[in-house]
Amino acid sequence: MKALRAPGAPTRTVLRALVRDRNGLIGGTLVAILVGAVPLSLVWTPYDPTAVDPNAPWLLPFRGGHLLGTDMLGRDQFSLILVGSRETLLIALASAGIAAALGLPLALAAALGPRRFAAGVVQLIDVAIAFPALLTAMILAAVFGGSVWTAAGAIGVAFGVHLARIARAEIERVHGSDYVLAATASGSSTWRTVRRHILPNIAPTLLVQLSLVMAVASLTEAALSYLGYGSPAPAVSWGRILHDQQPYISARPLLVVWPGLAVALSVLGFNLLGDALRDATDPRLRRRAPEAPTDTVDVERTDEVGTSRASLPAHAALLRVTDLTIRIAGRTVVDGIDLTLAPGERLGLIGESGSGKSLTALAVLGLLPEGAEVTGSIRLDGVELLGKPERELARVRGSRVAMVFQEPLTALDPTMRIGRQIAEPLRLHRGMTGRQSDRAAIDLAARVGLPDPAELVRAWPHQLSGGQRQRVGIAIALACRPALLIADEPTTALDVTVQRDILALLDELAHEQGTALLFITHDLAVVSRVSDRIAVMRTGRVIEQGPLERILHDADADYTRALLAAARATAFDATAFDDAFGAGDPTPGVHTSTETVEAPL
Amino acid sequence: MTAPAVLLRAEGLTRTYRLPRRSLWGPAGRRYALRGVDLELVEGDALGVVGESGAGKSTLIRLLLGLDRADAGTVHYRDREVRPGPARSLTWFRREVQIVLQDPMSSLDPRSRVRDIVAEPLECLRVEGDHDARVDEVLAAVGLDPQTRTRYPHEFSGGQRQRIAIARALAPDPRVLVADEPVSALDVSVRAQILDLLRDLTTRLGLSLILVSHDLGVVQHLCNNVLVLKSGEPLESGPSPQVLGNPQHPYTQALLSAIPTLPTHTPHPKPATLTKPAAPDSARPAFEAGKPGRRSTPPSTKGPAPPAQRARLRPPPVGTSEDPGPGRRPECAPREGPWPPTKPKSFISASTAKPERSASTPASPSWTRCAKRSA
Amino acid sequence: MTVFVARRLALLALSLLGASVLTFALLRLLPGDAATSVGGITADSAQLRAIRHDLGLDRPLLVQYWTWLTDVPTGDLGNSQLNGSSVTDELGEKLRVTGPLVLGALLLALAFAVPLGMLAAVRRERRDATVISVASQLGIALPTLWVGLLLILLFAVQTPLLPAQGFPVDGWADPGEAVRSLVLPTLTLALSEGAVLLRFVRSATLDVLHRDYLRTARAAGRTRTGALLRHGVRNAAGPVLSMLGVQVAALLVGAIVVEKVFTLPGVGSMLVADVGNRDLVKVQGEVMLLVAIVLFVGFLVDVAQRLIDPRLADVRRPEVSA
Repeated sequence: MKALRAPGAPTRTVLRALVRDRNGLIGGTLVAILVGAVPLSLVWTPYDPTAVDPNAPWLLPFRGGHLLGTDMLGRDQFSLILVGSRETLLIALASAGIAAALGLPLALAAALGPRRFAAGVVQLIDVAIAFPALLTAMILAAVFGGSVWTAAGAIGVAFGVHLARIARAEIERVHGSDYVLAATASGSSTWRTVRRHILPNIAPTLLVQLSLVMAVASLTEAALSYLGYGSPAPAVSWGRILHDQQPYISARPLLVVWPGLAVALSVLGFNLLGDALRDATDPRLRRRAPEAPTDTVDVERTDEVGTSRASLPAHAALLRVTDLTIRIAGRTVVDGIDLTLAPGERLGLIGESGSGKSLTALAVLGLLPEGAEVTGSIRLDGVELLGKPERELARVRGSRVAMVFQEPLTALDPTMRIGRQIAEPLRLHRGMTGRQSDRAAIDLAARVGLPDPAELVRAWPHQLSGGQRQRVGIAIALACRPALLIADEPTTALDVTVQRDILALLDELAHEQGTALLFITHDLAVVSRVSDRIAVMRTGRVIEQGPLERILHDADADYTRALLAAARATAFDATAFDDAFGAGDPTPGVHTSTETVEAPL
Repeated sequence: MTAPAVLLRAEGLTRTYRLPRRSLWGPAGRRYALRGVDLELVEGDALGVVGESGAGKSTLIRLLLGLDRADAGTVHYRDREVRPGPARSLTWFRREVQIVLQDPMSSLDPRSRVRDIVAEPLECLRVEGDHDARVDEVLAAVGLDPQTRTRYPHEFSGGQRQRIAIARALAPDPRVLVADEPVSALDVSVRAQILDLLRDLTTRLGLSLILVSHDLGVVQHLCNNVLVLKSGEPLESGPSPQVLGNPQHPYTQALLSAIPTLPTHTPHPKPATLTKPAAPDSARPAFEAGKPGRRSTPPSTKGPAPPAQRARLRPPPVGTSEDPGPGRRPECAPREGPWPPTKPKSFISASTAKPERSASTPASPSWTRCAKRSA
Repeated sequence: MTVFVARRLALLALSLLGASVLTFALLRLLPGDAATSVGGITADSAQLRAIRHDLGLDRPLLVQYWTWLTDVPTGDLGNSQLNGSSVTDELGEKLRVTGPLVLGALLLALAFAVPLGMLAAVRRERRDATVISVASQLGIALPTLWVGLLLILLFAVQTPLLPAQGFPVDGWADPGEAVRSLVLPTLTLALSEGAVLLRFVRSATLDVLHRDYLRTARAAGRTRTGALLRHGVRNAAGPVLSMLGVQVAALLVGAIVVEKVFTLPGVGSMLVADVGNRDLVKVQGEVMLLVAIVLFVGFLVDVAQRLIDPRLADVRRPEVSA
């Protein structure tokens, strides 16, 4: 329900996020060292890296002015490592460049080309992916002789194909988005759409992938040189240093440590930078997303009215929520609310998006996302639920309190048959097994009005319609005859004709089992069908509660009345045509009352 | 009195999708997303297309807008066929017909600034004139502060974003607006505002509207004609009072009876004073006056959109005696219209005549408050 | 399902054909040919021509390709151009080293990557998860060959527990000795691959953790962990499997390096040597084998995913309203 905040990320924000991110800082530093080492090695090295000094073989680090010591020929290891950075960086950059130059056009062709052509490109990609970079690089090196360019070419091509696969999925995602549809409807040509919408939106992913290509290219270069197919002698490569020093590993183990460390740190740098880039450009992971304004109905600020505290005697309450406050990431999203439900009572919890109504429900079941701070008290049957360990809460969930969720399409496990899922609470709480639970599942399926229950329990969730899936959700929730059923917008995702049936079913079953109902919705018309009492929430507070009739006709809070007015204004009015029909009112509909509910922002 | 021109006409629209094969040798199955849909949008009409999920509403929109190729059937705009093809070949059509999509969270490119989003159709359709000025104009027309043009979509609320989307659609000065569930992603209170804005704009600009929705309330409030779809097939169509007031098809009847309704509003002592007391009283009458042809208009003739009445609310259709001819109007050129006599030359100035929506009047706290908050 | 498997098999055959063309073409790029290697630098042009004729190198490329291609299904990958030995036989022998190495590494990697990856996802706010993440990040960054060298240093040089290099000359005659010489190589490969795998398991688990059906299961009375094990694992398996399919290529390449580091007589060492010798027919066979393994695993992965996720296996049905 809470929409993702899209990345409007200007470059500066990304940079700032990168620096704040620990990964970004470390990765950036490592890459900066690698990048800095190259120009340094061109103008200065402590010693000539290729100079053989017969007088100083096998020196340990810090001896004779050799920072990292010397090898059997007396070559200065530090100078060698420094010079080796050229090969690594050059191959990393060249590979990334080639991969991008090859991968992007391939991806565009595979995603946007004519259907058959695109299918062909996809096939080609799938075959080419089976050729590992190292293998191709070895063969190319054998053909053209080892050099930076054969290595970078082979690595670039191999990872270009990988990149194409990832970029294609991204392009298809963006191409299927509404804003591309809107652009097309605005007359944007394919190329303009690619330039203005697709490329900017896949750029973050591409950047991340390219930094990963650089990491893998560095690794592959090392392996290639180690195997003897890298750049020939005068060039220095960390991989070949490793190869050259391996025979002396028992005598001078440190000599294999330095070049390996150099490779590892470079790769680590590229990887961390890539991870940090991904986090910095993913708005969902950004630590503190900039606050987007929420739509407000502007009403006069009145103090909460009618929040009559617990009108029931303590012992009669099934659920008593007192001073419940929920903070997520430092923001107070539910702010000290009180709710009470008597056994068998039906309470409608009304509110618009961001009012905190769903979080309240999740808090009752102990299902809040990790990191949410909850204070106050939630008592069920007089027993405090807040602060109970997960294991004990699980024992209450599904047996005493159950919940039906908003999205029937995603609420069921797609890899498990319907019957199994219906029987799950019975297996958990009633200890049913095998046949017994299977039979119970069929009974429950029949009870919630699913057609052909004996067959249906063997179906998979995706084979059911939305309404049927919501019936399954209800069956799961009511399997153990809970004392309290929480329904969070159970019909919002459904068609009206289905909605009516689901509401009727919920009401009937709850009534029959004596289950209390906490019905959460934004829709006043819906809630008026299944509630005895209404609580209105707004920005984390219950601003008003009372009997249904009173709220509908004589609400105290201005907000409630504004909400009602807006709902009436946009609702279908069956009586509008009573006199108009025949007279043929050409402009049907009641004048909406938004002038009184003020304009937005 | 000439009959109003038919703007958009669809005949026998059919679209099928291939199903995956069930067996190696059997033919691949086909599924109809749309089957033989006819539709006619008369100038000045507001046509509601109603249906539940799987009714083929989205497919219909794609076909009507030339975004997808029909398996059978044709779409004509002013008797010229709309053939899906390269963007350039449809420029003439896109200048006339624009779209507002359902979810304003996804219909605006997160990496574009408001200015670029709204100017997009101007650029793509090579509309002449000062694009920046035009962007400011339409932003003001939808009740947004033109200053917001440099911001990114995520800085706006859902309702504001839908206003941006509407501004984009209005930018090239189209004659037809196609709205795909324009309010179903919004909160109830915002929904009413956006509906009002849509109604206000279509009336003021003389736009014709195709509104696709599953919500009969929305259709009832905006449309004078209705087409009911189910599983891709048209079931019933006609003037809204007829279809919604006296449905013939059992499905339409079922649909209507399933709508949850609030218990009827009984008058109660406390008047719902929702406006700020501080709001100048003078604002309201002016606003009401700016919206003729609403409830205050006495029911006149039977049937859809009495032409005489509606024609007064918009410039005369192209090709009639009052208009130079089929040629394209120059961008933002004055549209001559007989009513109201004082109607300003461009519609934007018409909007500034309304205090609540104007960009400069302090009486409207709408965007000014936002600007302050962001400042 | 049968339709799918049939289609996927056809696709596999097509891919293999494509791969064979690519392999063949790639290798014909090699300048000079086996004739120069066989004849040596002293051979004159007439001798070379004779050798070429013997090896069939003077025939048109298409004919050479066709001959090779039609022999492959019979299990005949041709004979070495240098010493005439059967490529198939030699590969079979070398696989006795490479096979256990790769399979062992894969199993070992799965054994530690899957539980640790899930743990890192579930406890992502805690310290132990951070430790796991940092370790896997390092594991990915370390070059396989260096890990091999460090392991040699630790377990063969500093504390001589295991052989540093080599494989028993008589192969698996003494299984104990053979296994001992495979321990370090397998560990090397498993560490490198496992680190990558761990991160994939972690992100797949993180993705599943936010799914609605886990919440449904918890609302029905499962604990957080219980819901993850019962419903999460199956659902996370899909993405991990498809990644495994791609990762097999990395595993095989890793084997080439590891065999070189530990001087194991496997397919990798053989390939490195043959590329150096320009023994076309052998390289062709070896590359084809590796590529075929990768493609075949891809096929298996696709089939497995269909088995796990019923949504993929089923024909989309028109929805029936309730």
